[in-house]
Amino acid sequence: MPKKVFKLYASCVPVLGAKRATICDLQRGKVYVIPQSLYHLLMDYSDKNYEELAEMFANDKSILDKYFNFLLSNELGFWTHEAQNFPPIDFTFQEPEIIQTAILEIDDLDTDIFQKIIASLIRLKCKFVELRAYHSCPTSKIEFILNLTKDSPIRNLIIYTQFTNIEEVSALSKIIGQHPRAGSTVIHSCPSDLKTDFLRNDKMSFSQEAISSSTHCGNISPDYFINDIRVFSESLHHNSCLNRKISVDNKGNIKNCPSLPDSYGNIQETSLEDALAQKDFKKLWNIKKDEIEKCKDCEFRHICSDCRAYVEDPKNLYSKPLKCGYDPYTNQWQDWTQNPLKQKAIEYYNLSPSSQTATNKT
Amino acid sequence: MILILSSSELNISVEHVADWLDFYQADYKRILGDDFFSGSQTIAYQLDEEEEYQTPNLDLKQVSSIWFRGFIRHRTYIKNTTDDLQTSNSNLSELSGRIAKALHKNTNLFFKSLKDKPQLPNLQALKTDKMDMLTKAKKVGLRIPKTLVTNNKQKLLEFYEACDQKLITKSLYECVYFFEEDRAFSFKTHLLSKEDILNFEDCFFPSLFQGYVEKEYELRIFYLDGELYSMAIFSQLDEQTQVDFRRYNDEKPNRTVPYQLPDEEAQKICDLMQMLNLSTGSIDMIKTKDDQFVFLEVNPNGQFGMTSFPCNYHLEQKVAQHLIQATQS
Ligand code: SF4
Ligand code: SF4
Repeated sequence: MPKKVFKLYASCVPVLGAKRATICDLQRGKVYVIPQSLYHLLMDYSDKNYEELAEMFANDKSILDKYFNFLLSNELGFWTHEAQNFPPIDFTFQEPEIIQTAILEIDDLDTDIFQKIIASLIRLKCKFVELRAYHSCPTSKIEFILNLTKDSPIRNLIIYTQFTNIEEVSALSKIIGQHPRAGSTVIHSCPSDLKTDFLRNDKMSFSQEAISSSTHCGNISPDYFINDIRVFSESLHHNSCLNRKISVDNKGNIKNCPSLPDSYGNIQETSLEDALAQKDFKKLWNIKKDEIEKCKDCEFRHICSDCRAYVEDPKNLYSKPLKCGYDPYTNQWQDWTQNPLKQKAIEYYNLSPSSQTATNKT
Repeated sequence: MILILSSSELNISVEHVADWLDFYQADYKRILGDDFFSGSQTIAYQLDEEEEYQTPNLDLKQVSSIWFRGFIRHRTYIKNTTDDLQTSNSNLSELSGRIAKALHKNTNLFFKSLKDKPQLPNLQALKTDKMDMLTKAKKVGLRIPKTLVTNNKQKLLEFYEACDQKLITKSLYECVYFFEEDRAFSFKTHLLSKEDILNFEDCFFPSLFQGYVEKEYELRIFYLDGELYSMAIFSQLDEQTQVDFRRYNDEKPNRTVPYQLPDEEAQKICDLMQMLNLSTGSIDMIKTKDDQFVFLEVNPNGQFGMTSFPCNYHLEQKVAQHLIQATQS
């Protein structure tokens, strides 16, 4: 019988960073930070059994035992004598929908135009829609859009809207409560003394911060890490924010995302399909984390989303997201708005510091 | 045109395969067994007509391949008939049994009219039962658990000893789920203790019993036209799921990882599927602690989403491609 070697479950994927590594448990959605030595033990000595390892690392046997203890107690791997029968996951990325996510800025667009937009999104098999109202938006408008998605392939709509008054919020709460496609709804710019317990609706959340323009997007934080097999495989092959995304901004410009400068036509004259067919529409779709400066050395790169609209060096296509406070070379998280090296870019994008605390992100 | 037959119950695999068919711009139509009863499909089966079986709203000549994902849930029709009927329970159950049979004859007429088209899985092969599968599995050289169908307590006690006092019972027919407003229940695999058996009547409802197979892990294998996509399920980690991994643990879901079945076992599975005349199905196996592969059952209509997703096998796409190819050949 072949010897027993240690095998990670295929859904627990080690990712090497500049100073340390992670094991991304894509099945249970957890990420474990590990030392590089453990990463190398798993990768370079995977054909050795315990006795062999114990002999090779005789001086560090207690560490070795600690490592295996950690791996076994978190059910990250197992000892097996048929390692050859447990192949890795093939992370090919293939999805049938042409567009996965749409961001729609809804304040200034006429209600009627949404018929055209949603009809296109249905043809494009879009699954997720984000409705953004930076100002107060009539509940009837949101309801109108929600109704257009009934019985459509659109699975989930998330909504951002400004607080107006209790009556409007209750009305909205009722509507999203009844609407199976309506997902999490954020009411921003809420007064500090707002009592919300009367709105029994777990889809709704309230924030005192204002989300007053698209410059609020693009924050990177461990809170937004998504640790699953789809996101991981998409990140290996495509941009983890902009791939299969389309948006219509407040002026009707069709863009990859509202924060990006390039427009591919106006929704009044152009359809989403025609915009999408233009040569450059997808130019950012294949910029991978493995190619992005600093991110390529980051142990979180395949569970972290990306941002191409706000980057440290606006002239460099492969620059690191501006709104990330993590440094993979020191393993420190810091407030990015305070970083002296980022001030130039902050100025360039005209991001007023007060507007940069909100944490909305697709 | 690809014809998708499915029941009215939510079926996420059907949605995903349909997404892929759209992606490939394939022509398909989805009909539900219910359509024949709700009025949205008309049927006429007239023996003296040249074309005996007629479905005016569905041009059968256009159908080029068929994907079968379930068809009818009996409860809907039986409910209509029995709701305001005043009669004894025994009459009711006899009646619902009879209605189910008639319904079955009906669907068979429809299936027969499709018999010359490529089908996934073969509609005639769906009827295969567990005992038949086990017998054939043995024939192709697969190991199977010790198996007994009996109604007799004494026989069962003897079998219990022969199985080293580790016995399970499971449904002789398919597993189904029943939903109530606040809960769901279903047929499960159940571990039997000696006490359980001693509490039985001398003669009981004829049931299926099998020796409990101590497992290292379970295998769920999706078979599609000669190709195998296997997944290992490490349910043994968790007390809750030792007998039947469908008893989920949400906090720490069982580890489910891609698996490469050794060639010899893979060949036996292919032989079995051919013998059963099944072009697709989900196979349950156990890998024992002493390195034996034990075959449990084939489900011609098994869910494959639960294999496809964790292993990133893209089975929905493969099924769609298969249906399109069948159309072209
Ligand atoms: S994260 Fe950046 S690139 Fe992505 S939608 Fe937001 S602003 Fe655009
Ligand atoms: S460095 Fe890059 S990959 Fe790492 S957390 Fe920041 S944005 Fe994400």
